[in-house]
Amino acid sequence: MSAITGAHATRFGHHEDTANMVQEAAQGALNDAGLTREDIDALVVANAAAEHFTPIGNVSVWTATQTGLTGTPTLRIDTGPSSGLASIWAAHALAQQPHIEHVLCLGWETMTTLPTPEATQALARLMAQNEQRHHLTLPGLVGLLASAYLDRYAIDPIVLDHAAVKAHRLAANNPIAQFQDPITIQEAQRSPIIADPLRLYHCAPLTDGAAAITIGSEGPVTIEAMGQATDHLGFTQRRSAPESFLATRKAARRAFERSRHEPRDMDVIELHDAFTILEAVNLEDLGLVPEGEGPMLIPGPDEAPLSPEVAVNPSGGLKARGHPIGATGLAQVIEVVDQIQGKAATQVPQARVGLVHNIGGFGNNVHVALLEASA
Amino acid sequence: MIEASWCEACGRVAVPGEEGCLECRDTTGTIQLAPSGRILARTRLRGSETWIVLVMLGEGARVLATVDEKPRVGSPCEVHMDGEEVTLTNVGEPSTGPNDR
Repeated sequence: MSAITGAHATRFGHHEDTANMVQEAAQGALNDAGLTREDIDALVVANAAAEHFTPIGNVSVWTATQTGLTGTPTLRIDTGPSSGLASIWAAHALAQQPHIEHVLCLGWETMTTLPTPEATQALARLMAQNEQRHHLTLPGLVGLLASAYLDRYAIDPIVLDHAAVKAHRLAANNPIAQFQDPITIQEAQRSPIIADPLRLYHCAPLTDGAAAITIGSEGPVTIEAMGQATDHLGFTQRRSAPESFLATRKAARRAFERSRHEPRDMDVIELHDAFTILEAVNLEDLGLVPEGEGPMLIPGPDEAPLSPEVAVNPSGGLKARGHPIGATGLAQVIEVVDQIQGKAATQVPQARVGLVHNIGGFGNNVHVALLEASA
Repeated sequence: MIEASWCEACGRVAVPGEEGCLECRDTTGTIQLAPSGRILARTRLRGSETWIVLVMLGEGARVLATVDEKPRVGSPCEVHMDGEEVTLTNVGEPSTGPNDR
């Protein structure tokens, strides 16, 4: 398998200049790998929504130009919010070619250019058209899922608040996180409803940010296995349980079938918690806990933020680190790479194996990667 | 009275009396009459007065509908369809808590 040879993420939050943001990520990853631009044989750009949020088009060539990689073969990967991890999949495939030694994956998104209502409508284009006609939004679909989940397992909705408090506590220790301050459970509970039962603090923010990774044949962290799966675009088209994502289950199963590891071997996990309910749902769909027991791994405000059984989202997750959708999957990988190298902001002791889980829309186009320390 | 049905070819809702499925135009006789509806999930968006519900018809197809009062998850209901317009009746008593179990 391929190895990760270098990595860098910008601060997540608001960036005045998208070009500067992209340049910082690319140069940081090259520096980390000890490479120059001339060493890069291919550039894979992860971006899901530039046309909605910026005037930028022809995104891969624009990115190559801004990063001094004009002339380097480039392509864009857009699988919605899973574009970042999908770009790693593409880079791995490219790196199997004999003439390609080093691939740069660069994910970026600029999302703070639009007011929240317009941004929400832009992101609703990820949904099936018949569901958009009901004025549903992505938070609305997840609100439906949350109600089904909480009812199915008779879960107290306070778990949504616990997950938010935990995410902010961890993000406060992460220098690149969008949210740098902890919140109280009362603040979570009093925040306005977005899509019942989801409140504002149960939802990831709109974020600008970029993250870059260099892929080669040898490096300190190996991509041991990956799995992918898609599902029907529409929630109403699916027949699977409404409180679960079948695509996550399939992608995780495929990744573990290609791996020497089992779910219980994972030391650290970065999962796709764009909404706090998804932490519980994803833990179950990834095979880490039985159905209905995901909330048991979410600590209360008086407990340590990382479970001793498995550390989940030590970065603060999408919820509090921020969610620049094209960059998110790469930022998740960078957190697990830092953990395995022992240099994470909130370090999990002796982390050797980790999992990254990235969703591209409402339970769709899911990618799972298993990373481990190179032998 | 249940008037909704679904197409086993594409899983989308169809209407009895139409020639095949409204969505994929399948005419191989796979349109099934839905015996009942059941509320799978509900949400209400910020600033909205109404609830959006996900309803399962029979054992398969799902539709979205809107109701005025907070419905109970798991509640049976009657589903009436006019093209893509879905109306629910006999939804039962409104929900009063975060969960209905």
